[in-house]
Amino acid sequence: MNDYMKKTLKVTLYGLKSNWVFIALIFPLSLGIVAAWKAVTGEYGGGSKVVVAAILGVVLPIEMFGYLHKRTARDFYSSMPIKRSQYFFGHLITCVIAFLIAYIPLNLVFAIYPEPFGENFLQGLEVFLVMFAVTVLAVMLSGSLLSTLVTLFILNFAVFEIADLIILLCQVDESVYFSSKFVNVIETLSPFMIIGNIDNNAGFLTIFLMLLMAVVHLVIAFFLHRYRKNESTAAVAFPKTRYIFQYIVMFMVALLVSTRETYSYIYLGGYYGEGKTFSRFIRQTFEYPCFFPYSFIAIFITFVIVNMIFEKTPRGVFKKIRHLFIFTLGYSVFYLLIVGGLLYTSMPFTFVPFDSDLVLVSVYKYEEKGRVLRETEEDEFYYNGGYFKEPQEAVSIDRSENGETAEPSDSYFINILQDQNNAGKWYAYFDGDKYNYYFKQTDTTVYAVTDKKYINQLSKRVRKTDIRHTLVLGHNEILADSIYSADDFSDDWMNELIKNGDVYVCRVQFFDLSGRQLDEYISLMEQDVNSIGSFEPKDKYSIRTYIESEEAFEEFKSHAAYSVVNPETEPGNVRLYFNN
Amino acid sequence: MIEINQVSKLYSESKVLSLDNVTLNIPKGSIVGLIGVNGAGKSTLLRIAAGIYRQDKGTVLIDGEPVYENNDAKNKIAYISDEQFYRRGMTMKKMANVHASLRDNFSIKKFCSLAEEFGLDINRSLSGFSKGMRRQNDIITALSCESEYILCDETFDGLDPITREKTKRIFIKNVADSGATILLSSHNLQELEDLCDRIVLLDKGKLVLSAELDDLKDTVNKYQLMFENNKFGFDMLEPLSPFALAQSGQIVSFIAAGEEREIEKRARDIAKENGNGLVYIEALPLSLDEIFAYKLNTAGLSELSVLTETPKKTEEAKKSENTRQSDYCEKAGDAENE
Repeated sequence: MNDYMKKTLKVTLYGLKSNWVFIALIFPLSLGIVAAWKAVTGEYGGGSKVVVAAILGVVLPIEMFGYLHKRTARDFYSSMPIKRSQYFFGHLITCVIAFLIAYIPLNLVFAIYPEPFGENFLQGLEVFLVMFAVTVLAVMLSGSLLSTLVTLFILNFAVFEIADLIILLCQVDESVYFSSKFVNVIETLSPFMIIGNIDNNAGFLTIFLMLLMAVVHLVIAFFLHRYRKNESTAAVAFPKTRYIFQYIVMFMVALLVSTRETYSYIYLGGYYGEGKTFSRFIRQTFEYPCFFPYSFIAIFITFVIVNMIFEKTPRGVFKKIRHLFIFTLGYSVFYLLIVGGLLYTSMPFTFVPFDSDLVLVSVYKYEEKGRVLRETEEDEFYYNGGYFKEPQEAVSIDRSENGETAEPSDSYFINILQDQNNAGKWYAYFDGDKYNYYFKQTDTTVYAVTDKKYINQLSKRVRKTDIRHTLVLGHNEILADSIYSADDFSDDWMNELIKNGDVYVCRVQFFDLSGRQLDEYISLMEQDVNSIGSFEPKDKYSIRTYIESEEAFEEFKSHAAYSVVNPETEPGNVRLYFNN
Repeated sequence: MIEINQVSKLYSESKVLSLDNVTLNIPKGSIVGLIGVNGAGKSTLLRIAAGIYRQDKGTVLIDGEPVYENNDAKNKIAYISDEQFYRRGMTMKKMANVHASLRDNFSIKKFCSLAEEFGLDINRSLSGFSKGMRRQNDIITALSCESEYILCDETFDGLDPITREKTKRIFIKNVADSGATILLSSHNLQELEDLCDRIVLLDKGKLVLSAELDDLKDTVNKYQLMFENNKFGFDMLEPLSPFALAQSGQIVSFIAAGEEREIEKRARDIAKENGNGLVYIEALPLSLDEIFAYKLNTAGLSELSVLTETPKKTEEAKKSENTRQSDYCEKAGDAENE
């Protein structure tokens, strides 16, 4: 073994010897975490081991590399005939050994009860490596424990937040979108997400990317360790990064508060008939308090905390107050003008984030027949939406020991009927204080499109056109694939279209199937639909729209390979074919 | 040999130029004293020489090899910091084990014998040691490294006289035995007078003076003389370039550089030329403080400036400091007036 390796090993052994008490406590600490997990979730299991691995991945490097944050310790170790790289690798190995000293016995305990040894063993190791690497990087960037924790926050969530902002700006349906590969890749770049993403179903690509990211973090950390100055006493290792650090943290917190709480109002809409306009963005930004004053308060609190880390006294913090004003002004301009004025209005509403090979379009026609007020609270309701044969006369039902009595009421009281898909049915939807009810003119027909060229065109139209995405709540939220501008949309205008019976409502589902699944599906489509197959698409994406003209409808139908009229169940019945 | 060539160091956080183009050679086997006020750059120079800090400009070589990130060079150095690092629960023995595990040449045997010589319990926690005892521990550890070079940062400063004498005695004896080269910083000139054979003066990051102690003492003397009559004025002695000219009754004293006999002859000649004569003239040995005062004066630095001025700052740092200082003083003044 050459001298370099010998010295590195010396550092490792020194690390193990000098921290033996801490290392010895890791195993009981791990058992404590498992017990806490059981108390919270009610079960033991692989999840607790993953949590243990994540915690150790943070705690161990902070302990082993913590000497970098104390001047006297830095001077002492630097005066020794040991190179920085030897310290770096030596301590890395110490951390891994310390982790395994606790992790392997923990797995042996689990082998007895409740799961066999080996299950989740690798996952725990992967989680440890990812969290360990990002924490080492955080320690190298920072000059104190507090700034390490703040840096960890940045490294774990910064990419995720920016990706989240882009996704929100695209107004996508999170529940669908986050199943896509694209988002999985983005989440991979946020180390903390590994805790949620690493499971038995995590693909090779996910794991590979996460481990690659860990390696990249360690490489960067190595060079930072090499070039950081021993004489620095600041809260960050490279004092020139102090304001970058401060502004990034403030930006992340401001973005988190501004966007996460408001997305459902501003980004996803929730308001029927409105498009993505700057005026709408501004109006709703100030209608809800998340931008002002919540994000301003969050910026202020973050400013104080971060500057306390650097200045250590309140007086020192407030000497830097101009940075707070500069940032708040800059962020306001960014959020209102860039995010709202530029990105929000110009980014596509949505886009299909994969290469789809099957599109199912469920088409039906409605007309709105009116609205009724609901009963007062004293009355009982049996209904909260559904189909029925014809409007029912409203009754007030009184249930008592003596039986049930019904008396006419000014309102219509609607009952639920079975068989929701047949034509000639009424559908009612409860919306706040009123029922909207519709008459379903046509049966639901599901069209299957396998024409790749047409699918690509449809996907592109989804990307490019001004289509508003609905919330998946019911059939009355309607998208418009329209030549009309977004400003023309309104509740009343859409209802007019529906009442006039000029509109086909569509639910469009894009699927990414394997070749085998597509073949099987097509063969089933040629047969009785009750012969149900079972597929699990690699990906799925769904939007709502409508086709506004007969010509457009005919054009669409010409591209459909198959159609099924009035399928047994709800238009989304094709889910039976797909385990979603 | 330690070769320090045109070394400069700027602390980027505080914008202080701690060392400004310092060039210094420390021959092997010598004991060099590094003197200067707080902030002169002594500790920085020692840390750079120990390979702890990296200089911004210049080179530092130990026996011809750069010291920074060089294990072979660092193996030759033992560094005693002004603020030593001790892990929690450290005893002398554990500290020795740390050194033994990280160094190649650490001698546990020597460590134990030195500990016995100093009368320290190696199993006692360092947190229970007095300041003097901790310093002794640091010296023991450094000597046990059996290094060729020992760099001491204010190691003897702040010790009581008895502890200092004992520590110095044992230190000198071991250094003499090993032939190590010492670079020792201090505020206290008298401290260095006993130990060093060469003195280096740093002021505001610059090297002001570097000279052999014997040379300093040989060439500069204090003279006391008495004139025959009162026909005397201070300006008469100007040709001798006197320093610290003073009169007490009929006794006149001054400090001057030059060969003793030559100075005496010239003094007599001057007295004769001015219608006077010398009753007697006597050369007295100087303390290091007096030699330094003379040397600073001839270097154009007043003693006062050396003792009171702060280290060299960049303009930005000065401006910021002046603003803070004047704000503080104004407020203090206002409060007192009220």
